[in-house]
This record gives sequence, C-alpha cells and structure tokens, in this order.
Amino acid sequence: MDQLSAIVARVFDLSPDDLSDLTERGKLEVWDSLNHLLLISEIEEEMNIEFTTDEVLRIKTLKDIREIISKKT
Amino acid sequence: MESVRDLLSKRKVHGVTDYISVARKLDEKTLYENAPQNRKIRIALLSSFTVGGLREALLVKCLNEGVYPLIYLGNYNQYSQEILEPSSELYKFKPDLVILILDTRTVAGESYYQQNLENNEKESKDWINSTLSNISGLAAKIQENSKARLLIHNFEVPTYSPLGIIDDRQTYSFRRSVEDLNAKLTEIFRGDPRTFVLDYDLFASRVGKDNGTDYKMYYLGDFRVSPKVIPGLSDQYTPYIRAILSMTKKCLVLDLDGVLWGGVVGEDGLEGIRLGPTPEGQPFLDLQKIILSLYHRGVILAINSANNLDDALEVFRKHPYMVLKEDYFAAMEINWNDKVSNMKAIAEQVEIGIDSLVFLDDNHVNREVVKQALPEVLTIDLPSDPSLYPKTLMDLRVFDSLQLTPEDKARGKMYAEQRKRQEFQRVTGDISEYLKALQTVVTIEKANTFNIPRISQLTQKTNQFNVTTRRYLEDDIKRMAHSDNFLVLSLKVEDKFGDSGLTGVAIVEKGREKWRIDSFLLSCRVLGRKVEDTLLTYIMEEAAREGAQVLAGEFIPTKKNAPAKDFFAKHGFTRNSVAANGSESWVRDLQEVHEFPQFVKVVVV
Repeated sequence: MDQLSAIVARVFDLSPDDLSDLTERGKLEVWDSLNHLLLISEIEEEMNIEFTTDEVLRIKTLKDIREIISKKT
Repeated sequence: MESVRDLLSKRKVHGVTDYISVARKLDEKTLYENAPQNRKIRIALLSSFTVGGLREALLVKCLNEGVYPLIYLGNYNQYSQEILEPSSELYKFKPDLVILILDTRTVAGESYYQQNLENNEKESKDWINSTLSNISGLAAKIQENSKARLLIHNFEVPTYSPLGIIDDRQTYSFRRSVEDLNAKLTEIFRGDPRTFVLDYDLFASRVGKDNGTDYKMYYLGDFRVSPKVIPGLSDQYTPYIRAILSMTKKCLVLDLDGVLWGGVVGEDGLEGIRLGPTPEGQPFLDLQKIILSLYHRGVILAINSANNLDDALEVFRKHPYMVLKEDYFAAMEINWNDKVSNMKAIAEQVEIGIDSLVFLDDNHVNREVVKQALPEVLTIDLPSDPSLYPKTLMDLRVFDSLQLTPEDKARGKMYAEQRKRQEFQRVTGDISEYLKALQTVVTIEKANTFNIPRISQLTQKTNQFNVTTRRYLEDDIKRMAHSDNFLVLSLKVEDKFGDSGLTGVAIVEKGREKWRIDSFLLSCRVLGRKVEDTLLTYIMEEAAREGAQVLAGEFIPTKKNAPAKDFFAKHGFTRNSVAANGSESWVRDLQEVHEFPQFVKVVVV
C-alpha cells in the first residue's frame, strides 16, 4: 500500500481495499467538502508538500491527487 | 463499543483528522447518558467560521480525562440568531457551557484591510464600543435564556498593519484598536461570575500567528483557524470544563532530591546539592518559585520523599536559596516507607480525596509504581532534563479554578495551622480537654454580597461532608438569599491556631410548619470541632423561634459523601424513607431538646 492510500484510508476510516485510483469525490459519502480540505491538509503535512488552491478545487479522484503529488516530488 | 482509552492506545492521534476518526467510533450520547452526574457537561460551540474537527477533538480530549460531554455545534455563522432567538436549537439543547468563537475579521468587517489613515481615533473608539456592546448583548441573552456559563474568545491582534512601519505613529492603528478591544472585553466581564474571556490572542501567539492561519484553507473553506492547530485550541477549553465540574486538583505532592534541588542531599550534603543561581541550580530555584505561586493561589503542598528527615529539614532550614519553607507544607512524609503508602497518608492527613493529588517525582520507577497502584493520582512525567521542569509546571493547567476567593489565598496557611492542631490533639489526648483548649469561635452570617461568591464556590467544591451535594451558581444563591422562603447561612471558624475562614454553608427552605434543609456542608478541615452541631442547632433555634414544628433533612449518597452519612442520625433525626436511588429523608421534632455544644462560642452577625 502506498503512502497516499494509507493517508486517505486513515482519514476516511476505510480499508485501503475500498479505495482505487478511480475513487471519486461525490461518490464517497465521507469525502465531502469539509473532509476534502482536511484530507488535503493532512497530505500536505505528512508528505511535506503544498497544493495550490486551484489544484485543491480541481481534484475529482484519487488519481488526480496522485498526479499532482508526482509533479511535486 | 470500545472505550476512548483503547481507541487512543491503538493509534497515533495527532492531527484533527485523527480526532474525527476516533470520534466516529464513539457513541457520545450513550456514554453521556450512563455517566456519573458530576462528570456530565453539555457544551455548545458557536462560531462565526468553519471549525471542522473542533467538536471531535474536544469530545475525545474530554472523554480521555473522564469528562462525558454532549457537544452541540451551532450552524455555520448563525451564532447571533441562535443566541437572540429564545426558542432556538441552542437553548433547546440546554447547555451548561457556551463557547463563543468569533474572530477579528468577523468583528472588523471592512476595516480589517481598509482603515481611515487620518484622524481615526473617534472611528476606532466607536468601533470598539459597538463591538463590546454587541458582545455584551449576546452574553446577556445567553444568561437570560439559559443557565450556561459563557466562554468568549478574545481577538487575535493581526500581524498585518495597513500602515506598515508607521503603525506606531497613529493614535489608533487597527492593531492598537484590537489590543484595546481585548483589554476592555476582559474588563467588562471581570466581575461576571458566569462569563469568562479566553485569551485566544495568547493561544495564537503560542502556536505562532503565521502557523495559526492557513490562507488556502481560509479561502477554500472559511477556516480562520488552521486545521493544524484545532486540537491545540480544544486544549484551551478543558481547564474551564474541569473547573466547572470541580475536577480541579487540590494538592501538589513533591519529591525532594532531584525535584526541589539537584543531587541527593543524603550523599552530596547541604553544600553539594544544586540549588541557586548557577546553570545547574537555577531551574530548581525557578521551579520552587513557581510552586510558591501555586501555594499563594490555594494549592496545598505536601512532600513524599525517601530521605532521612533530618537531612531534608536541614535543607529547608539552612540552605540560602531554599524558597519553600517548612511552614508551607500541609503534610511531610519524609521517611523510608514506600511512595504509595506515603501518598495515602498524605491524602488522609490533608483530608482530601486521593484523586485531588498531583505527584511530581524525577524517578521514573517511583512514578510507575504510583501510576500502577494509584491511577487516580495525576502523576506528572517530568522530562529527564531539569531545565525543562519549570516549563512543565508552568504548562500544567490542572489547578485552575474559575475564581480566587480570600479563602483560596489563605488556604496554604490554614493547612499548616491544621497540621499544628493535629499535633496538639495528639498531645492533649482527651477530646473535651482538646475542644476546650481550642477556644473555637463560630460565626454565623446570612448570605450577602461579600460572601455569596464563596458560598457558591463551596457548594461547587465540597464533596465529602455534604448531605445533598447540590451545586449552585452565584445567581442561584442570590435568588435564594433574597427570597423570604429561604435562609442561606454561612459559617466561619476561628480558634487559637488561626482562622479557617468561611468553611460551612446551610441552605434551609422555610415552611410554616416544616423547615427543610436543602443543603448542609462543611469543609473537612473544620470537622471534629463541633462546628456542624453548632450550625444545625442554630437552624433549629431559628425554626422553633419562627414557629416551625419539624425540621426535615435529606441525605443523597454519592461516591464521596460518606462522612456526612450519619449526620442526621447523630442529631436526633428519624429516618422517614429511603428512595430507590438511595436518597434518605429524615425529620426531627423541634419540641425535643437541642442545645449548642459546650466550649464553642457562637457569634451571629
């Protein structure tokens, strides 16, 4: 399990098996707008990176997050 | 359902999402419903911006301390409507504590960025006054519509000034206005027993104002406090919650070697221990000064140390840098007994519950032994480097109480007097000789403006000799004191060893035929001196004088009030009934003889 899935699973209280790159905001009840921001804040702190406001708004799936992270690391 | 301690032991709990995740697994409502009455609290959080995770962090932290809260989170930025509307969800919730979280941007409006650069004194003063009157208006509404206490955030002084370095050339820069607003906010609520101002600006400074705001989170979600500091913010509330529930710790128990001074006096000798203005000695000197300030605030001091008594006393008597003197200690267990027996002996001598003790010891093994045997004692994990001791003690918030009465300030002295009284009793032997020699004077006084804060505090704090354990706010006491149907009495005790101050309360409801004792309580340290008999006899005399036939009393058992269990039986009352919850009702015929005890002088003022 990679670091990102681990963080997402922990923040949303899900098993990493329930998550895939296609997991979508809006389809997952717990991934609401408040938890989205808290998730971003958590990823930023754990992985020591910063998202821009535009990136945060643009994220629709786990894959989107992964792509943004890979550009930054 | 797992307990919060299990949940916390299983995972790293650090960030706000961890608290949210732990909170999801807890059934807050059931926990609240099954909790002991004196550990329950209903808290309403009202804020002018997003405080995601604050509710959960507060919930988890409370439960971890043995407090069972029910927390209501007001709707986003609806605080005014909820406070102003008497039928709102807020008041239906019946909060015990309302926390009002407003921020500088909310109250500043446009002037946060744009202020008149010239001649702004009048404008600034108007803004301060109108903000204050809004807030005091909200506070008044809360008092009118609920019994809740209110905790209000003060305002973060911005790091930004629209004027740059000429900020200091203006009579009233915006930053100065916020500082002034904070000062006035504290001032207007200083005398209000139900409203408290939380120094949020201080909190922001401690976490660092640049860390306290996350601009992205602010613009995306109206988080005006960064999610990263939300758990730390919830820690600012818990001292108030503990104080409201009377969970304040009362006594600091100290080890000697390695705590009050560096080194081991038995080995290093008086000259060899580290205490004084040197790099090694200064932390111990400062620690003693911090302990002294706790003593002046009413914290009882005691010693639990493995040492030869003479070696230890020599330090107290002869060391030039010793700040703490023998007289400041209510109990000194300096011997070779184990630390656990000494802890118990201290609780017994000082007559407080073992859960009121805090233990400071540099030895890790001693701490573990006490933690295992006496988990109710708060054992502090001192860092291994003594230079961090002063900060550890400065950050310890467990002694906080909501107010400081003259009795609190004099408490340390009173306990030292009590220690002498106990020694005197041992020497005298015979109880009536002892009582006679004490020359006790009991002063009984009706509730008035001056003693109402202390009367209310005693109903909040007294657990042991308390027949009904009814807790009353100052407003409740005032209401009863002004009513013709109630008699609210306070009691002061003085004897040859000193003045114990206001240490007893009785609240009696006056009927025509029957008077009913609603509350009757005494601080444990005045027990055994016939003062309870004196107060009760006075009530009986008054009742008889006003034509009552019968005096009724109730005993409501709690975990702690066993010392009051036989009170009515001992004083000629007969038990009428016992309810399913164990509450007993007692009556006494006022025609039967009742006399003031011998050797006690009674003064009624």
